[in-house]
Amino acid sequence: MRTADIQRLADEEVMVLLRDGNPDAFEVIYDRHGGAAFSLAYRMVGDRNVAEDITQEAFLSMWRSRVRFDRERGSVRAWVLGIVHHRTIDALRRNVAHDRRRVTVEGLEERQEAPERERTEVEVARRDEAREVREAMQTLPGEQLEVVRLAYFGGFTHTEIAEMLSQPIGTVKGRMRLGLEKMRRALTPEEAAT
Amino acid sequence: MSEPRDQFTDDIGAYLLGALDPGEERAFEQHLEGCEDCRQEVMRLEVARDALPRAVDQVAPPERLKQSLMATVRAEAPADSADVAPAEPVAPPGRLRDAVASSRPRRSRWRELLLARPAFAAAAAAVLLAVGIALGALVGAVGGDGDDASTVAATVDVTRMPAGKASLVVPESKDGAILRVEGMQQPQAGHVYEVWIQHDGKVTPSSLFSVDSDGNGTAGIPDELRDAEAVLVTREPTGGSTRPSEPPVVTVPLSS
Repeated sequence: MRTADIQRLADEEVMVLLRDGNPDAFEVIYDRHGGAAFSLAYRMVGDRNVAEDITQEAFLSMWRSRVRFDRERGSVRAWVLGIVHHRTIDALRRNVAHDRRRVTVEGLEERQEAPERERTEVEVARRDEAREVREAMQTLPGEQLEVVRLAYFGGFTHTEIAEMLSQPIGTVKGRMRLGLEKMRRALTPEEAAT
Repeated sequence: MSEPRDQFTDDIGAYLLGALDPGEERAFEQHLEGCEDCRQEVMRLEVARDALPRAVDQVAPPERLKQSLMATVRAEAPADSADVAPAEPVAPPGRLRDAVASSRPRRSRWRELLLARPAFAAAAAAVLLAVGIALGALVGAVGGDGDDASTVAATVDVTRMPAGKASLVVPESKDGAILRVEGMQQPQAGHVYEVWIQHDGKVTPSSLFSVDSDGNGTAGIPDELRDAEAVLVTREPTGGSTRPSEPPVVTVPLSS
């Protein structure tokens, strides 16, 4: 199957080809999700070269352990970003612990770089999607949003966050779960209403 | 739905956000295997967790990242996979050229932090003597597409990699290379192999790679190698290091 044919397939179908070791399938998956993966890593580490290395390592691990993708557990995109998130957290906790101690929630926000020029309609759609998710995040009370950001984007453990905020660990864990619950409701209003 | 009622309930949010310590995470995942309520709750809240990366402003990755990845993937692809060139002892010259044609050495604050490491260079020389393996030599050349590529044998530190073998495929232009390794040990958890380029006794970081269960792996090296003295490999923490943490396990001497 040629690359042009593969490009017409859904992610899950491309993954079947990738599982068989098809490099063109890998290229299609990278083209679709490499940018989001790099952006997430960059958002978390604030260094383009480190983000590049993490993204490279994550995609190679997908190539070499592709049988691990379980289509019953979610989308390919979520799978890819989950791998990148895990690896970025590993890198953060291992390499830049001292710098991270200085990071504040404001600092995390400042890590975001102005988006580069839009190239495709897909990128425009993703910016709309980003706005929708940010609006959902803004429905969270400040203390819930703070712990969600520190944990997910900052890579801090609940223990570290509890220390930073001088709050009991149980309180921090509770805010994390409540924050996710509120975000879920904001993102899936129909389901939440039932 | 019924609420899960156990001591792990409070950990669900932290688990989804990656905020548990490794030990806690393992314990929680073991608990999940036997707790349907918690599994359902995790799956219910995953939609929120999975949305978080979509809030991030999109930043285009450098083109060399794709080039490096595809050079490695195509080199590792099984011979019978669709649209893959027949297996060859070295990377297909055309693809190698494609992989490195527009690559440039990285110039970043991260890389500029790297300082001269004379001790590291001395250690590398010591390893060469200790393992008693002949220095790498030009062992072959592959023609085709007007861009010859040579395979340079590497020296592997057999005290740490008893079954290890490595070779470097370098195009005539030396605009990059592909490193192939066999029989290497899996890096310990949370570690990868990192490639370094040595110039004038100083080393700069290049690609990261890992190996499969047989210890085989391939790394695309986008850096120019015209003036390089050697390509080296060490084991480093995930994400790579700015300077080597150990003497090289693989050394490929190059003649400028």
